[in-house]
Amino acid sequence: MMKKILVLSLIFVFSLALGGCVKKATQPTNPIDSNDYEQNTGENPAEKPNTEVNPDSTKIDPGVTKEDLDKLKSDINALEFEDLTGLSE
Amino acid sequence: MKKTFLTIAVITMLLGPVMAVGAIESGSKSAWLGAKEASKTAKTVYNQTQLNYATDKTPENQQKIVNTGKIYLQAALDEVEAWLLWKNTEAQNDPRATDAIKNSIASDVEKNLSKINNFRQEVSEVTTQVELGVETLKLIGGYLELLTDVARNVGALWVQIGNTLLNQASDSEAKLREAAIKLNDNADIIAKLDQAKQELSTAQTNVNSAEATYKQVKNPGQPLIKFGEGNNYLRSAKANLLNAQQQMFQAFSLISAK
Repeated sequence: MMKKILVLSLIFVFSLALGGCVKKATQPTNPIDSNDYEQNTGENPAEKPNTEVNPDSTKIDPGVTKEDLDKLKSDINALEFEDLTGLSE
Repeated sequence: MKKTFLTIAVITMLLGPVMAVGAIESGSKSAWLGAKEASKTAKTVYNQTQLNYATDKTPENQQKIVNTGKIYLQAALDEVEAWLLWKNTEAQNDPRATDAIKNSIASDVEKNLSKINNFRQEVSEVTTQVELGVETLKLIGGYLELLTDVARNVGALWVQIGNTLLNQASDSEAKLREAAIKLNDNADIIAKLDQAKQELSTAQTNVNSAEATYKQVKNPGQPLIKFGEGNNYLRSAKANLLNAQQQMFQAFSLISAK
């Protein structure tokens, strides 16, 4: 019984570690910034015309998300201020 | 069956620490609420035995006053002890609390728990109605001392949390305004953000008033009354913050819909 638990725990931990490695492998370790791009191609992306069509290009980013505002509301609602009474009454 | 057990065990191991903090906090609060209720009940019983003695002055009824009085005083000590423990747990687990406030509350609580134990010993040694009267008077003074320092620090912690939330809300308001300015036909959005800004300004005034009032939670004085007044300022600030959040949410929806 103890052996089984130990083996299954090891499998679980190993799968978590493997999952982390796979996720890490799919992400660029060092994102390319405009300077890198310039060094590699001699082109400045800022000067390069954007030929991609962005359907939301006229959209304005509100700067905050719905989640930010919901979190703020829930934090405010969580505030409680209990008065103290007791023996002095 | 074994697999299910193992899965539950692993999930519990992973989520355990997170759940434990919440459980300890809510457990401490429940313990205080329970102690508060028990103290009220003990007081009612004590008052009734006093009435009984007033109408029938027998030695038995007099002894009942002493017995129920002792129970009441112990229950009152339970209540203040539970409150101190709850406030300490709450402060220690709040990431918004500074180390200075955490340490101050922890040190006051430790000191006061020791005082409570001394009071308990004294109450347990009471044998007559006169001794009970003396002990009650002593405890009334001591009770305020037990609560005052921690109450002042708890007020300071609440003010700190209030200011943190105010900063977050002001930051959101500024970002929404920056976005709204870029839009044509934005009068309705700006109006909502103006309202939010006004609410935040009033909230700040209330938090500042609460801070000044909590500083007056001192002995000698009226510490519990001042504590209640500070709480009222913060309740108003909470309402202002909720109004501001509502206006910002409406502004957010309008910006997103454009």
